[in-house]
Amino acid sequence: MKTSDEFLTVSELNNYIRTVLTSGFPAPLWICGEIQGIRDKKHLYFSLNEKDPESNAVMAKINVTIWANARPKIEAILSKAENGFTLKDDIEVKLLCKVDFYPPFGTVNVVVEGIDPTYTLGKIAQDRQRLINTLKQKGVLDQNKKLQMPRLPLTIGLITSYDSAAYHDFVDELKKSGYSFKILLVDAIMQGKTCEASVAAAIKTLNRINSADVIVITRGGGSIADLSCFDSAMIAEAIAASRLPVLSGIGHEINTTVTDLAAHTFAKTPTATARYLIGRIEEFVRHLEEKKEHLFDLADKQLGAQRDRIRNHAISMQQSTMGLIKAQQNQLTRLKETFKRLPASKIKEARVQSDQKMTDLKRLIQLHLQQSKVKIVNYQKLVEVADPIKILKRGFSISRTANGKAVKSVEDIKKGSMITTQLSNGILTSEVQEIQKENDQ
Amino acid sequence: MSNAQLKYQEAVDRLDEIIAQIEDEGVDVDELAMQVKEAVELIRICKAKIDKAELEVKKVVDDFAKEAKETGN
Repeated sequence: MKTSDEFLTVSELNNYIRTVLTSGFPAPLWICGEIQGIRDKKHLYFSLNEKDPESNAVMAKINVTIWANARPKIEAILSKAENGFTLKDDIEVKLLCKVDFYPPFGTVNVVVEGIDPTYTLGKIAQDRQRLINTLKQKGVLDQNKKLQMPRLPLTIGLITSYDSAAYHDFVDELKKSGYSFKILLVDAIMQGKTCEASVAAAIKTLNRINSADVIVITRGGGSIADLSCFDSAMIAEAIAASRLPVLSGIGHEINTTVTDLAAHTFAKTPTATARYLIGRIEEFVRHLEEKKEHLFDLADKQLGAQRDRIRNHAISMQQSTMGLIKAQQNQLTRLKETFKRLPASKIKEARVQSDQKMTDLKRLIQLHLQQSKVKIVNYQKLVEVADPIKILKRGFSISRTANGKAVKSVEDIKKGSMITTQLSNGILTSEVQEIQKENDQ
Repeated sequence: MSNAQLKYQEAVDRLDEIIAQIEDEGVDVDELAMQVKEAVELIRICKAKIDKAELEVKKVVDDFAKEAKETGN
């Protein structure tokens, strides 16, 4: 222990720490962690974090530097790897590092000398597999597949980045087909941290609008790390909840994403997705054509059968009619012969008889009519005798009381009353001056 | 029943009835006038019916004779 008179300057201390530290870490070490807060300032700075697997909270972190002169080597290793990727936030990396101490700042500095890309790729694959297993168990991956893919998916809810190469590839392919597709575009962020929320929200929006036949999620190709945002539980769950079938076309050369697995159907590229839809329409058209052919065939067969039936009917009808006519002709001929043989005298006799009957009838009718006439004339005579007008003409008259009643007896009337008397050509009005009753009446 | 639709026999029956009433001296003058009027109308109908029947019978008989002459039977 040194006395209080002896001391070190800060730089002496820092240099001393550096000596101790570098002798403690004589050779480079492999360190694994998650990149956060990456800053590209000629040199590349970031912190390497270790998270608690349960809570996801940061348990430990260390500052990491990639010096500008080391970057070409690191980038070459990354680009040469199968499914190359670039260093960015949120990815897990395995770095070959030298532990150093930077005396001017008094900070421990981990300097990168090499990288093992297979670790990152393996980690992505592992995470992905774990996610797939969980989603599978929850049944999320099967939900959308249970929906019926429409036979005519002509209205397409398109989730992609507007004006991107993927957008143009997809739309151009649909246009080339000549079918009248209609596109409802939901412009979404197709990479990075906000991708999953943006895509999930777009799926919900299209379900709410509910005027599309099918939803298409598409983007162009990229590295595994670029596309790892599509290995998303949030997107998978939005697809599972969708009432519309979802088609995914996320440009991926080797692996399928979780989004692809959750979708109803997936294709490799935007163009392939468009072709799938066109194929669906073509299949429907072909199916229609087949139905049409089948109908025509059926109609042809039916018509043929009916035509044959009618022809057979016609033939049998002709035959039976001919037979009938022939029979009638024969009968007529026989009758003719019979009539020819009938003796002429018999006919004459019959004629005389009928003439006689006619004459009798005529006479009888005339007699009857004559009798009727006589009867009616008798009636006429009788009626004429009774006709009051004719009686009046003979000098009789009808007297009536004031109330118009005919006077039949002297008792119908009193002295001094007024009476009217009807003659054949007029009426007299007179006053009764005297009444003389005849007893013998 | 209106007189126009009367059958011949019905007309004659009615006439008999009217004549019987007219012959009854108790009949009122006014009633008598009505009855005479009805009887005259009935007589006119009967005459017309007889004339019509006569004409029809004549036509049928004539047609028959003509037909018989034409066919030569």
